[in-house]
Amino acid sequence: MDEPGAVAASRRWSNPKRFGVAALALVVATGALAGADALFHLRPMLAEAMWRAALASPIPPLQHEAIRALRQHATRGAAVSLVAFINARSRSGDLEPAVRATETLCLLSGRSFGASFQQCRAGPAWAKAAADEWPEVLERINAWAASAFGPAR
Amino acid sequence: MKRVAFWVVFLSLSGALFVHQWRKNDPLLHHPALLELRTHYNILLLSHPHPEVASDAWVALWNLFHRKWQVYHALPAHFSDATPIHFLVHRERFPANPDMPALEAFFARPKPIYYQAERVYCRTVGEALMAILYREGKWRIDYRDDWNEWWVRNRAYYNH
Repeated sequence: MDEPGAVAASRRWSNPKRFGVAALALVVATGALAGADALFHLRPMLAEAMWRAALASPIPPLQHEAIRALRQHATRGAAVSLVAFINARSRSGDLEPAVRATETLCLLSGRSFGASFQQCRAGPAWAKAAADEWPEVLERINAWAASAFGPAR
Repeated sequence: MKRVAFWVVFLSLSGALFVHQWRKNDPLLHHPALLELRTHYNILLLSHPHPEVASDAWVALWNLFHRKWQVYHALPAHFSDATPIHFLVHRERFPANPDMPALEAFFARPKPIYYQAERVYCRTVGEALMAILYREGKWRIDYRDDWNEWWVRNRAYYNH
């Protein structure tokens, strides 16, 4: 007859069994996510949420990458995030990222907001707006955002 | 070892062939038992936040509507769906040649609804579905900026 301690030890999970169950759970979770993505196109939504979070982060290179990546996500949420970012940067006097975000917003919305853009010779194209015309550009962006995403919509 | 190699190669090749044939023939695409499900699925995708996904669903519904009688009668049940859409539906003369008789048809664009456009014709799922029907071009009364009015005036003709 087995001792009580031996029975309890035999009922405990061994390491291979534990890893097997964990691997199975991982496979099932991956399959469920892949199925949900195939059905409801979750990947662009997740990517957009990630880039919007990156835009809200305080790390400048991450913000630049997010501004660039959001060009591929022409959604209401992306536009609202860009408008909020542009306003926040303008208030803090940091115009360069605000102007970059304005270029992306122009591409997403098909509008220029009165901004003048220049193409850099080296590297990716990015926008520059003259400092004296910036308040007017910002005003137009906010007016457009209020009409497009305001409570009336 | 040879036996294992044989089965690996055999299963890989037959799997690849199966996937190729499945993609080529797509047996579920026009299966009548799945048409209703496919229609509802694409109607659900019309309100997807990403315009590319939603406009693809609109085109899929357009194809289903013009090819399957079950879908022809299923779409009007969703005309009152006020869920907002996030892609543009624009109107243009089709065919564009001025010498030929043409329709003023609606087409989906993979652009966000806030993208600069002459005007926004459809803002809800129901209106986007009515724009699919409008493509038929057999309506007694033209669309005049009000989808509900257009449908009320033409629904009797649609039922017959």
